[in-house]
Amino acid sequence: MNCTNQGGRLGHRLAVSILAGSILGAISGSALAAKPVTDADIMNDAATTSDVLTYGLGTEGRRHSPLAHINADNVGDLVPAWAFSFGGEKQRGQESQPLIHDGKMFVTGSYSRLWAIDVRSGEELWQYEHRLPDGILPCCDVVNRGAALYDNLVLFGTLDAQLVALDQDTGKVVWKEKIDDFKGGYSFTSAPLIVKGLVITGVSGGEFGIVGRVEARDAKTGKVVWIRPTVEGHMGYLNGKENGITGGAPNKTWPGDLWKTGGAATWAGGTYDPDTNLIFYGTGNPAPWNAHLRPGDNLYSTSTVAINPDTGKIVWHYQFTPNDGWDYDGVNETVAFDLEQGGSTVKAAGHADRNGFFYVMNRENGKLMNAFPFVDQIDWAKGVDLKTGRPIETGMRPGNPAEATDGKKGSQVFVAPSFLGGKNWMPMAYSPDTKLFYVPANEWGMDIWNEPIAYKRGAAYLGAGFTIKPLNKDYIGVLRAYDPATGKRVWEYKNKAPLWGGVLTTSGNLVFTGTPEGYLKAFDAKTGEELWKFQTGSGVVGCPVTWDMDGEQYVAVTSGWGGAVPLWGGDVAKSVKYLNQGGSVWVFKLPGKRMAAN
Amino acid sequence: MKLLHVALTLLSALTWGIAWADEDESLLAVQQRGVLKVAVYEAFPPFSDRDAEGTPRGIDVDIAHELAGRLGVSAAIRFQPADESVEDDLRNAVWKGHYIGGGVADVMLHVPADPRFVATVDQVRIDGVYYMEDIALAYARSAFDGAPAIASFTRHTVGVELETIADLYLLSTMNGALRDNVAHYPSLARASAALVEGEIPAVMGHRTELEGLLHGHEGLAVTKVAIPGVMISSWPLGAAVKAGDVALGDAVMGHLKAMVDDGTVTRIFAAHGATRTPGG
Repeated sequence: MNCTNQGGRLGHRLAVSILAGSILGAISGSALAAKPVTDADIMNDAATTSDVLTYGLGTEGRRHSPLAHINADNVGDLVPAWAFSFGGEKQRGQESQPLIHDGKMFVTGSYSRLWAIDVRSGEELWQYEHRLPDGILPCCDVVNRGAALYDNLVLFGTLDAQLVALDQDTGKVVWKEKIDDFKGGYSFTSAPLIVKGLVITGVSGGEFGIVGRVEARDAKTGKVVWIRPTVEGHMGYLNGKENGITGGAPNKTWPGDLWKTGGAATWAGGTYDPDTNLIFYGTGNPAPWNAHLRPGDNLYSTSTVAINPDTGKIVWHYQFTPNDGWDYDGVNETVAFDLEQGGSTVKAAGHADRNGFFYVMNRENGKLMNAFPFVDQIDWAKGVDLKTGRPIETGMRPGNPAEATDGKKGSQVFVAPSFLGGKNWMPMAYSPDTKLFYVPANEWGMDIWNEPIAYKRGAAYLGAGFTIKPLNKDYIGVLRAYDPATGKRVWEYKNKAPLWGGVLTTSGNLVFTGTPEGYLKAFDAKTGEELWKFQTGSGVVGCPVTWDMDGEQYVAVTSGWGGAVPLWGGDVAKSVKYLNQGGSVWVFKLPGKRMAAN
Repeated sequence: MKLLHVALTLLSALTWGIAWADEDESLLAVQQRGVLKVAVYEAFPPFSDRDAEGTPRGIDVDIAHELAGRLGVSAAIRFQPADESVEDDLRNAVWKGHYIGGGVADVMLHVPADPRFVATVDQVRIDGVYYMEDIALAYARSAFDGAPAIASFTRHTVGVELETIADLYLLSTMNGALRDNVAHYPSLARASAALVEGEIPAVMGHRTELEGLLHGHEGLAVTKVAIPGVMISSWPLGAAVKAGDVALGDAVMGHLKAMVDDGTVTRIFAAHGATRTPGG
């Protein structure tokens, strides 16, 4: 308190704290403290309702809140508390998940921007706009999926592949580290993960010759602690020293030197399970695209790798699509949950892959326990052999462009799901109340053909052509509730446009998700009945969150249509052309003070 | 009625006239600005890169300056990173601009003018063919007894630029028998440097690029190779101008043709150590 230059700030906080304290009493002790975010706070995030400190409402990424003030009975009354415009000329996809801490909301936006907002009034506290260099070519829109909080810092990644740590109070840069060279096709769009004082990141962007890796830095300084490449044959590092080659040696599952440029980008972020002390990180498709040129499983592409945060070593891996030929990135989140089986509890993990199958794994060792389709049509495989853990392929693989006849379009195959996946980056939710996973899925397939007159940097190249096609006339998107124990589909909600936003579930028997048509919607978690919707003015492709404050529960989501669908969606992109862009965050609550009486 | 008809005809003629004038302004705008913005590929020697001082240099850079000079203006070189396909590059550099910002150039060089490709792109006019690219093998004379046959790469390493037609060919030919001996590099410049350093005995890739990159190095040879069977092994390269910029397009394509016809382009290639194969 004797620090005069901070007196104003502390005074303000004190006033807020007294106010909050008088209303809340013992309900929410953490609101009293204007304190730095600690490792303990992060590990408790799923249980503490007054803040949202992590992407996923807990490092496990279950996206479940125990709050029940807003519930299936009263959600129909939900009204906006405030809305905040990101402003500027820059719009496009707003795929971010807001964070809530110490009276502030931290939300990232398109084009590597971040705002701190007074969470009570909706007024801007500060804005950080990252200066993007000329000549940057982001592959898949200019999105950012969210920030991380640690100590007094708010950290996020940028389109030019930097990791930036800002002071939560001022927005000033505390440290900034280059993850990689954007000129080499690298970028970073997912939310960083904090584990034991380390900030864990991957690399995104560029299909061209990159090698995926997971990195841990000291969250307070940005100094690299360990690096774990996700392609077999590459050396890992711990504290600057060699720490073992990923997969032991090169060339075990790759021909020639292709492992050197093997892809497996780690672009969608990771989760952390404190029970097993493992980070689960997904990897993208292998390079080059033409699978005929790289016979072998091409490890660890299209996999979940489980990494020990203390050693930076891979403990186990599970590969979803060996020798991928359909661009089925394996980057989707792997979510820890407890599965009751035969009277005992198994430490399990769920993963809904782009390839259309939902995988239930033992998260201690990666052993496959169950795999079932979560979309209606899967052409590339009949199922997954639970004994070997390998897909039972149908043989429906795209042809080899190298065998194309000069100037002729090669044979065409139609395969579902499309390369945008049965599910893409948008995170699902798991409710320990209903014991169901809520999966934002899309029903679409793709035509693939050899493209013998493709050109790249002025030179002829034999590539592949794709176009995405819906499978049904009336809908593409479908939110589905699955019982992971049985693979049974409990309910579904069909949406005309493809779903591209994350899911949230609460102990109020609710599931929230957004639609490209602009709605944030709430469903009954048990039945799937639609209970509430609100039109936000642009497509919702962000991840909703909830918290309580001053005795009321709040729900927030970003709005702003964009992402990969309008860029790569083929026929589907045409059907969603009418959707307008935007850039805002919306916050909702029940009218007046309407806490559920317990 | 007749009067109305005449009025309408006049009006439509007037509208046409205005539209025509708009198109003509594409050339006028460049002349008034005094600058022709020319897009070339970034980090792409010997066609377009920067010297140690950061000054743009290369075959395409020289062509850009000559072209601008003939239009009576100076050239502003815009280095364009290569996107996933030339269609993307044309969108980013010529007719729309990338959504990250930065606007567009007036002309882009090094655009494939293969008629089958040209027919698929209607937002730009592609013409002004100034050379033909094909495939060659560069090798160390000491490592081989004459020009090596493809089959010799069952024993010798051969370098390629990642994801080029030479790469695809070497990985797939002879049922993949060469796969283990193909060394991948992020660019032909890096592969060529490895050849110069003696790390690998041969490189396969685009002939003009190889000639320019290896120009002046002793003990190396560049020989044209056919890619047997199914693949495209040569293609013409020209310039692209936005389809609506008719007057500018006419002027640019006309000057490029004159530069080819009077030997200017051949001299520019030779100055960078490359032989120009006429195309188109």
